[in-house]
Amino acid sequence: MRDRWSMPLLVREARANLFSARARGFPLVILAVAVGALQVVVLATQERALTEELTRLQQDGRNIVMITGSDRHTPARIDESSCRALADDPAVVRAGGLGLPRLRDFVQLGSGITVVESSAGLFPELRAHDALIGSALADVRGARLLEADDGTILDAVAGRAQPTGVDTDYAVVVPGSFVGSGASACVVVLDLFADASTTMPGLVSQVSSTGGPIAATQAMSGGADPVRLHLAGIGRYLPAGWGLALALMAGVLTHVRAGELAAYRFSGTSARSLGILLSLEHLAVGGVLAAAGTAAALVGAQAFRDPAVPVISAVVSASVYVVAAHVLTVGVLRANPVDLAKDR
Amino acid sequence: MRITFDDVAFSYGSRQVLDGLSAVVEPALVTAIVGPSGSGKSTALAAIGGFHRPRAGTIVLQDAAGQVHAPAPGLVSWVPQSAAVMTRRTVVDNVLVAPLAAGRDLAAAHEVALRALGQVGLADRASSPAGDLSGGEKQRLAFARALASTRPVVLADEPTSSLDAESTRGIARLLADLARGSTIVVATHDPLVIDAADRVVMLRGSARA
Repeated sequence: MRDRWSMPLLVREARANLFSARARGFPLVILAVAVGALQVVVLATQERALTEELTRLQQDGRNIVMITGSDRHTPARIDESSCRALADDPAVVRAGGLGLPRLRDFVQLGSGITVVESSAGLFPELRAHDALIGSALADVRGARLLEADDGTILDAVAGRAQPTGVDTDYAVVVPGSFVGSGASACVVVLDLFADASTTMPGLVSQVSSTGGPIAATQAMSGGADPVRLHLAGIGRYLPAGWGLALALMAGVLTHVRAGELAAYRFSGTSARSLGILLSLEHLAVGGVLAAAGTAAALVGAQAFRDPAVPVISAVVSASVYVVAAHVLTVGVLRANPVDLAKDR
Repeated sequence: MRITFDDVAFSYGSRQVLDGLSAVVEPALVTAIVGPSGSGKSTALAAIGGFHRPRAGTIVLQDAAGQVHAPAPGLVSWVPQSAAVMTRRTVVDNVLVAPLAAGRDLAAAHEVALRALGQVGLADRASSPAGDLSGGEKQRLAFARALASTRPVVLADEPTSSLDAESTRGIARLLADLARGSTIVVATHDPLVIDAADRVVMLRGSARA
């Protein structure tokens, strides 16, 4: 059976069936808005939880890379400036050299305190202060003066607890020149989400050294990587799941609407035109879903490392919705209108 | 349009519903197809509309010019038992879809729909939500849609099955009015509708008429 529906009038029908408070499809539109916004909230919550876990693990040494000499008999001296330059890598948060520890006496801290030379690349506080007091030694927060055994007065600041691998919590860190002597170790703090195993070889190759060979090790090794687990987890199917769930709702609605769809058929609307009408409705709901997700992503952009992620997620949900809703519609289009009218 | 059944048989799987149905439905009359439940009343209607294909026999529709047509959905308007109303849309929107499907523009379709609603006595409810109508009014709405589609045959399947006596009398009067411009075939077991019909085709359960 052929009919003579025009496309603008089918668009009008789709609009009337969806976008008014009384429309049969209006709850689906509201659900699409809710799903679009909710999935962004869920993504933000997942990302925050992952970030908190990664922050905790970094404190235990995850993504703390130490580049040191690998031959015990031939010590390596690392060019500290090449170590500091590693911070230009987007996967690196901070990097700097460490000198060999030595002991000194301080009036305020006592005798036999470990002193380590480093740079502002690893300890940004050294840009403004002469010394950084390890967190385990500092009982008072904020700047203070340290008097060394040779009478030198140092403007010092209490440091935060350092992650495993940057073992300076029981030491006083002072700026080192490293000219000539070089650093005994280059410590690199990687971004929380960086993959240390793939990043480390590149880091080593960028560090200049003399003496023996150098190698990179991660302060914490073993255990499953949470980022990999997150990326490989079932959560990656969540955008598709949202779209599928909404499509199932649309399928239920189509079933409930069977009598109404029969009205179109009994009024001379062909299965083809009815298919176009339902397709327009699916596209409109999918569009609402994508738009709601995008709007929510823009509002909550600061909650994401990459704001494109929730937008892509919303688009994936909408695409899955449109495809699945079409699949679930096929039965209605193939049904005999007489049976459709009974199916309520 | 004259409709001729010639030795028509139909079955759902192994269940024989119509067997050897031969009858003539004359144009511009109300013809009631009656019979007990399961005798094939709705099936006969669906066969006229081309929604079901008979297992045997032929159904022919002949227009006023003598041209012969095979059953096809494009020739009929169907008024189902459940009225098939879009309850969330306005009354006039429900009727509009028929002329729109026929290719009319919105203004012309609106005019046709209002005229059809006037014919069934619902013109004053045109802007009401269809869900607010009573059962009888919903059936009248379905007839208005059939009228607005301007198809030559109106098939009504038990249109009064859920209506009270007063509403049923209203539909019976409506059928008689509509028959002036269309061939009306109504499957029913309602005595009021049967009384209002010009012709009656009796089905006796898997038997001939």
